[in-house]
Amino acid sequence: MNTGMKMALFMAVLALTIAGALFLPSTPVILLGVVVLFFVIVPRDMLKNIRMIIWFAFIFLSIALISFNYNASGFSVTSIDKNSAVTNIAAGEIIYKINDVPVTADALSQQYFGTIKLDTNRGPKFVRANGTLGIEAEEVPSSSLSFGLDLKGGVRAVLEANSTDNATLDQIISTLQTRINIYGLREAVFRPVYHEGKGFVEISIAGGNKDELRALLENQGNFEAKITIAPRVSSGTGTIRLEKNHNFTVSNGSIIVGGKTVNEKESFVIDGIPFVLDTVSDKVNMTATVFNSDDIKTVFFDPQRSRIEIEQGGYRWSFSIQLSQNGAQKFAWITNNLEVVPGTGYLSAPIVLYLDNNLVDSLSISSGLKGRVETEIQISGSSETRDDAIKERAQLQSILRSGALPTSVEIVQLDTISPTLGTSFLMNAALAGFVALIGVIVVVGTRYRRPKIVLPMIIISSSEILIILGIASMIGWTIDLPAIAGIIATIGSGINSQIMIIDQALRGEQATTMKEKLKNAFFTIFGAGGTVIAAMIPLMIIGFGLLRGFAITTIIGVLVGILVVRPAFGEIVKRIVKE
Amino acid sequence: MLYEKFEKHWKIWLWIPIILLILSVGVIANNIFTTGSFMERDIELTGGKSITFGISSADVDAIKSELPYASVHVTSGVGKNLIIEASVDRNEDEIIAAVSRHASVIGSPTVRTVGPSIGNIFFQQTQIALILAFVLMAVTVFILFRSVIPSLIVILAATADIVITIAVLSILGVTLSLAVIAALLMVIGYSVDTNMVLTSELLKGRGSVSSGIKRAMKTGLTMTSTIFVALVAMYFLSGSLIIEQIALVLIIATLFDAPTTWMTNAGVLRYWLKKRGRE
Repeated sequence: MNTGMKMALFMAVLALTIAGALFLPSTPVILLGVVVLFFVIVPRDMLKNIRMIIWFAFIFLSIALISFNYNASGFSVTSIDKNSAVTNIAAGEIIYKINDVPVTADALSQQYFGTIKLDTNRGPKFVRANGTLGIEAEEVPSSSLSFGLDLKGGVRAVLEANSTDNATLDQIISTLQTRINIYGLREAVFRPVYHEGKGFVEISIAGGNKDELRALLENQGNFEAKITIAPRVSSGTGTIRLEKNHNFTVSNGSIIVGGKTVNEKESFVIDGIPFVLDTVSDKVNMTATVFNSDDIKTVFFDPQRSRIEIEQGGYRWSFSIQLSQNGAQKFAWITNNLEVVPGTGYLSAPIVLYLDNNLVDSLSISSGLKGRVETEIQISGSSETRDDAIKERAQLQSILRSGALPTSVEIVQLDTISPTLGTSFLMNAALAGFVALIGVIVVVGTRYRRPKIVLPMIIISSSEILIILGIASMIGWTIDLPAIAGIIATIGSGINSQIMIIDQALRGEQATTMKEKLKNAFFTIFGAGGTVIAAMIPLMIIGFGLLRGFAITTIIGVLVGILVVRPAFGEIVKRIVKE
Repeated sequence: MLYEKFEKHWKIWLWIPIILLILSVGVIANNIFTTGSFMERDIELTGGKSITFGISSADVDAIKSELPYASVHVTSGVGKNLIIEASVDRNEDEIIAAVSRHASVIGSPTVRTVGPSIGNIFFQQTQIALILAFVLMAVTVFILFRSVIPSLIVILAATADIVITIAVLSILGVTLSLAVIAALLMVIGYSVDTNMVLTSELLKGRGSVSSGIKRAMKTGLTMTSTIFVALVAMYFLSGSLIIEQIALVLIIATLFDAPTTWMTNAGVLRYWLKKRGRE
């Protein structure tokens, strides 16, 4: 097959692949397309070349990892409001249609009344709506690449903590994470940064706005701990034992206590303790609020009183809290009304923790605590892994502090990034990249005057971008402006290296073999690549934000270049020169 | 033919980049004396507010006269951006209102606020990173060549490129931002590329020094002009301040890298090889 025919075939397969990717399942079509393209352009005898195989394997895997999906439809649910009418859909589910109409951003924020039908990836679901749906969702992405804040909009802040130790920064992060979990706020990404003894926390909320960030930072909850007791009733009367014994009588689904009639769900106070009457049947259940935020004096974080120990089958975490005298007293009175469950070492009811009336946790009470006034009590639990133990302990510690931050924080940097600017940036970057590509083709074409040299350069450089993106989606790396700058930098130095290879290979000397010529070129390429990596390492380690992302992307790019892409290019050039 | 003319006066050419370098050191010294930093710093490194609008058209003069305290910049490119920079204490709503009166704004703006303390920390950190980057780069070059003079030449060339680029940028009134720092680090990479082509050609190549330089120069100038064309496209079309700044820094650096490499370094290597008995 001559070169002209090959070119025509190449273009035809390329066009077919692109068209197919838009209408059929994209990734399989593209994978099939590159396999066919590879066999069209690579001569038979090079198919077994190890460098070509490695190069092709990277391309193939990258496409699979990026998993393009151009005909994606629907919106993926990111978060659901606490008071949302939609209770049968979880975050991560995809909504395709509302009332049989394909879903749009407008349709999601519209008001609905009565029963509506939602077509999701888990089948049709029906919701009784009364107003807006109260869910946040974003368009199903056309690939698994995740784009950064500066491309899709959102809010990013850097907090300076009024403390220098690592534990405090971790505490701040786990407190904020707890608030997100409890209040159903939008997911955020946290990163602690230390600099010269100062501690910072970088927070990014993709798609969020300034108010959501403020809600996250200022939301401090109201903490309550409750215990449900079930006093024994015999022949219509029972006793609540607190400071004194309070007798009550049961009549018609309500009780009479201290001369007052209390119905189910109504509250009453005795000996300074607020109660709610839960149920009255053959048994009486009532819930007492034993402490609130004011009763918890201190939550201990020091290593003596906040520990993780290895136990059989996992890790045991524990920490102590300091209660007010009044709180300890109330706890003692209430636990007097509980019984020891034989064989367990625990009392008959747990202590249940609430933050802003949301149930957040429940703890069994050790039988030894029954009726005792203890101001320092220990809280403990078990987890399978050490990380889980640390996480669980931190979450509970921050709940007991009513979700308050362990130290004051100051916002030292605040960025609100417009989503429209990001989209237009991607369009412009694509245009600029395209024109830059044409410029490169013109310059290289003028110099070498052979499409057989220019075309492989373009294919090789495009494959380099693809492989960098593939690695990015494998390691969950976010594509943002610094990453794009890093990709531009690597493509630039990649083209430099390719020119070096071609020039070395084209040298007319008969004395040196092709192998030696390429060896010379690769010495320079590895050397230049090594120097770039050396220069980027300090930036990768220190520095946050822009420069760090740039350095990491550049290092990945250079490694892909010198280890995968350039060796294949060397083989291609060898072959071209031989012809 | 052109090359023969150029080669004839190589002893004179050698001095041109050196003079440029001395002048640039002067400019930077002046910056340090007057502002305390080698280049005027952007708000990212001093603290401040920057608001970016996507616009289709704008009356820049009217915006400037309404916001005398702010600096106004419009990027080139198809989707234009208008960037306003002001100190931290300025009210962003006031700025947004003023811009909306005199420009057709698309969508909502991007607002960045950098506190002075973190700006300073960024600046210190990047200075440390730049110095470390240089040291590591130098070590790598020494390991590669295992010969003092050629290594020094590659390192000095990268230094000269960065110093001259910083001087030219500060004359053009570009301020030092994180993007500019990233680009200055890229300069190391591109400068090492061309200088390594030259040095390894002369150290490993056979044949005369003169033909070696000629061959290296052909490769090097192809590399430089390819990158240059791509950068110009980026500069004019990206419409993003970050990409625009990176492109500008690299355009200047590649422009001045050519003389430092092919005039000074080629000249010095020629001297050095002559002394060791190679012509």
